[in-house]
Amino acid sequence: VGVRERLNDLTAEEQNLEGLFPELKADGYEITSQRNSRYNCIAWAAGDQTRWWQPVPSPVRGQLLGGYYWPEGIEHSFTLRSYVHAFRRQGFRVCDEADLEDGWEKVAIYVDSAGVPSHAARQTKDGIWASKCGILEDIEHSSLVALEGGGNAYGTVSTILKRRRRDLPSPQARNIL
Amino acid sequence: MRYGEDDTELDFGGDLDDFRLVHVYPHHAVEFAASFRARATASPNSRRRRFRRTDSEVDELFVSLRDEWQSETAAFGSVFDRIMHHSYQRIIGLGPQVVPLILDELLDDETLDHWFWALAMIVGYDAAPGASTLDEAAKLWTEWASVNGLMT
Repeated sequence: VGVRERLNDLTAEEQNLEGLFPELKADGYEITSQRNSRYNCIAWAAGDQTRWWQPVPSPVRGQLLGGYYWPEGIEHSFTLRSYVHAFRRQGFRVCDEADLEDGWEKVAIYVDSAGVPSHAARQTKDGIWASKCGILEDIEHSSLVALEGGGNAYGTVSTILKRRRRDLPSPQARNIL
Repeated sequence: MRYGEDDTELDFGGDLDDFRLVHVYPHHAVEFAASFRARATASPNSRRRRFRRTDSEVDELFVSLRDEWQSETAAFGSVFDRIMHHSYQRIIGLGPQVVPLILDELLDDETLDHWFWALAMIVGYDAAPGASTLDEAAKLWTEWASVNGLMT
């Protein structure tokens, strides 16, 4: 199949995503939602599809700008430290490996070339990754590399965190069962 | 001499000499100079009036900048990166005349986008303090506009 035929078979959304993230097509991915501006990748990774999680300062009040959510008590700064604290508040802890571990839910934080958080992805039960791309669609991608790179891509993965999957009984409960 | 003929000079003529700052965006400088040069002829006695855009000019510019902003920043995970985009900053630069157009954007569920920074910057006020979702903020901003007679 030639390039032109292949492009004709792609939806506008797929063309858009593959243009933005050059590694995505080779890695394999699937679009799993419509585009939505109401939540971002950080919210999505934390399991919230209703709010945009970001410490956006009000340009006139010096507080959080109306329309955005950031966990209370977490520093209002666009730093990796602040974002890690926000995930720690949700029960995540920093870990070393992105590999699938039974019973654990993992999140990867990407940073840009200046070390500023640019994206977060969440690991599914099957070991693939789920991402919300800005105000675009949710996607599932086979590896974290799919969204890495310069330009419009999200830089590099900097930090992995994990927490017990909430849809599984706790270890104690499993013993009782 | 016009920009593009010689990259070292930009001639706005007469009173517009102050605007050499637009060297930063050469292609915008060409539009800017042409538009305001025409106005200088139409309003020779009011320097400020020469810098006012007509409603139709603002409408056209807003749509063009909005489309450019949305298409070039849609994948950005950080709203801060989105609002720092040059098109968004130019929308803010359109000033109070653009507020009704932004408020109209908030009424459409399908296209609701991150306009709250621009509104707060132009108006000098956050009409949605404490709102934690885009929908809540849009509702509070449109209520604020209605109460102040800005929705009709």
